[in-house]
Amino acid sequence: MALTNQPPDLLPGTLDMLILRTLARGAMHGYGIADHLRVVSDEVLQVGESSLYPALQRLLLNGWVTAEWGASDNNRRARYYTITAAGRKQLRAERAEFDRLIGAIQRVMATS
Amino acid sequence: MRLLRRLTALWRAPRAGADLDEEIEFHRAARQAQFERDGLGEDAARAASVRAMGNTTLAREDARALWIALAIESVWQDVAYGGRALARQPGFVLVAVATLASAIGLNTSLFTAFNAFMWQRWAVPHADRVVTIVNTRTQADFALEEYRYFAGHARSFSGIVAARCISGLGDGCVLKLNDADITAAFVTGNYFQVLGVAMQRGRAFGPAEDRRDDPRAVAVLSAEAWHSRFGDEPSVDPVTYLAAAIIFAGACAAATFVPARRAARVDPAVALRCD
Repeated sequence: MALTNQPPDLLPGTLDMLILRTLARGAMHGYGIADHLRVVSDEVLQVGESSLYPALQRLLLNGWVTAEWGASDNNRRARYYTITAAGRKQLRAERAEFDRLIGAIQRVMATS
Repeated sequence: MRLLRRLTALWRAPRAGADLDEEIEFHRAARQAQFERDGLGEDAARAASVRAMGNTTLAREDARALWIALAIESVWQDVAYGGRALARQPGFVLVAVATLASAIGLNTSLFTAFNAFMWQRWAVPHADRVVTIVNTRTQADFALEEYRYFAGHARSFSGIVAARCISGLGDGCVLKLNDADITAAFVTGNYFQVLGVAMQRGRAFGPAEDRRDDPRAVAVLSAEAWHSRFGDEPSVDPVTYLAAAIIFAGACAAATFVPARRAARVDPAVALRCD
């Protein structure tokens, strides 16, 4: 069995898209991203740290997000991620591909 | 730009590892705070946050593996692109590689031989302060009287020695000894004293023995001649080494000739268009 960082509840490739979509709302640290995904999805998407941080590193290395250290709400040092212009472009591309895939699946499932 | 960013990330990997550790600890502390807000005590909240975080070592290892994997991927993409480009023109690649390999091999062998015989320092103390005096006007050897005049009047040198091949006994400095070629020369009596060369066995000759009215037949063998001609450990002599270098150079020249002729017939404009 192959090892993967992808949470079992997510379709392959969707974690990067979800992170980029979350950061499109504004700069956020890793815990904030995971918490936002959990709350917005009504506790369905529980992104583990073993998936989240490698994904953030991947986005950083691809130039889709930038990271800067800042102060959190409780005045602790936290690393805030910000989506870049290239990241927004990537988000649009991934969303289009995701919509196309979901549409295809729904059409298959809608057949009698 | 992308490659530069990845190389920068690799360069900063140690710092990035420390950042990741701090980031994951912040994440755990935030979870602990959340558990405390939900009503757990501090210790219970800490334990619960550690459990909730799961295997953080795996997260760290995955992130670090990512940096290395992306770097390898970049290199692999370059190699694959190069390989595809070469595969499209196998004939041209064969000629080009053979020509380059032969030329490099020839160049290397010639340089090795040249370096061995021309650029190696003399095995004497302070070899960088030893110079050769030549007559640039006539290119002729100095007469013995001229040498004695220089040796007696020169103030810029700590000593002047002279050497001359043994003429009439063989070809140049090479003479036959027990059917083998050896290199020999007459030298002035101060030769070893000025050059500061000590004897491994026996004694050298000195200026006191360099007298016309009382000539002494004294010979000094090199350690190499002693080893190769007089029963000590056998070793490769300069003649053998030079012959091997010449044979090797000849083989490389022959190997270069055919690919070079083929390469000369390739039209560069056509080759570039095909690529």
